[in-house]
Amino acid sequence: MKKNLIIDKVTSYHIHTLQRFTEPRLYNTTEELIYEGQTPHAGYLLVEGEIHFIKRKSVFQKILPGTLFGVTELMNHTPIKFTVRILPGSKVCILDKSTVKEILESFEQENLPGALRLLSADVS
Amino acid sequence: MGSKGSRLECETCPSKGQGIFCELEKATLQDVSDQKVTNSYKKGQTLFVQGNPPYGMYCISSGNIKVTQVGADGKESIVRVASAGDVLGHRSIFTDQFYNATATAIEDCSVCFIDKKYILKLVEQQPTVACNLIAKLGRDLGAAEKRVSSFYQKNVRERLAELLLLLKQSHGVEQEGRTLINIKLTREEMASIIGTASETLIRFMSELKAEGFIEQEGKNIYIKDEEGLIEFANIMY
Repeated sequence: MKKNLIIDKVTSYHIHTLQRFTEPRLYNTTEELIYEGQTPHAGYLLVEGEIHFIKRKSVFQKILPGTLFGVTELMNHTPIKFTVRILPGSKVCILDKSTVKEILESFEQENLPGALRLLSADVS
Repeated sequence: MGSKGSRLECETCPSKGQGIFCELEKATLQDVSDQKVTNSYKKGQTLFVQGNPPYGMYCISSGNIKVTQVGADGKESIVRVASAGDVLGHRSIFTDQFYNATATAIEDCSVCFIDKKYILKLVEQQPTVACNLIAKLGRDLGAAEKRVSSFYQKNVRERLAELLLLLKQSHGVEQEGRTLINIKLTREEMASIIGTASETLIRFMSELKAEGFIEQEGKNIYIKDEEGLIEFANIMY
């Protein structure tokens, strides 16, 4: 399936960097983070647990810890073509627009994870 | 990359004039527009879920959203119904607690999301936003107190009459000498709001109909005699 979402596998160095701006939040209950056709409210860095990408009621991809997604789509107001569901017990760092702007202002382009580096290039 | 999502400017919002940001000057309102994310929700889709972490506030542009709580017994009850111009999730922003309720679209809705950091900055910089939020929290508290006292002081008949009057106030549309309650609530949902079984609600609806206070046409409810309902609900307006 062709995805329209930029997914970035993040190094532990970058996870540590991003956690300085946003602490991991625990999801106690299953929740649809993004419904098909919606623009994400934030970018999400999965720290613990599992996130599913769903199309036509079936899971077509399981996202594992260390993955960052949704940042580019958030900043560019791009809707996503599938549903993103977080499972109970998962922890994510939530990168909302304000946090993304803070990060972009605080770091040199080369010190950012790939997805954010793209945005930084757009800004400069 | 997919196409750009629909952008709703605050200036052209269908509920302009009813929200907490509407009094802001044009430049600041444009900044809010640039910061927010607007999405459409279909009936049954959730905006946020009880027990999960909050990270922003939702501003309803159009449609109705039910706010429900699940108790220890697993029973779901409707705490309130939010409509265009209303905000949701504002309390959790300031308390830093998990959401204590779930918000679900009861019809197709358009909702804007603004992140917590931006709201807190706006509250610091714009006294009107802070005042409007405090006023909103005050109204919410008033409504919650009224609801609690209703549960203790009124019987189910009176609570039903009170609910119909509240819905008339928030969603009433005048139609040839009667008022249509223009919101798609199922009988189960109405029963949940007043804390009764749907069978009981249906029985009392029939009683109100027989008394001539209301009329029903299919799923539509019309208020025929508001004065009578006020007296029946045993409330002072």
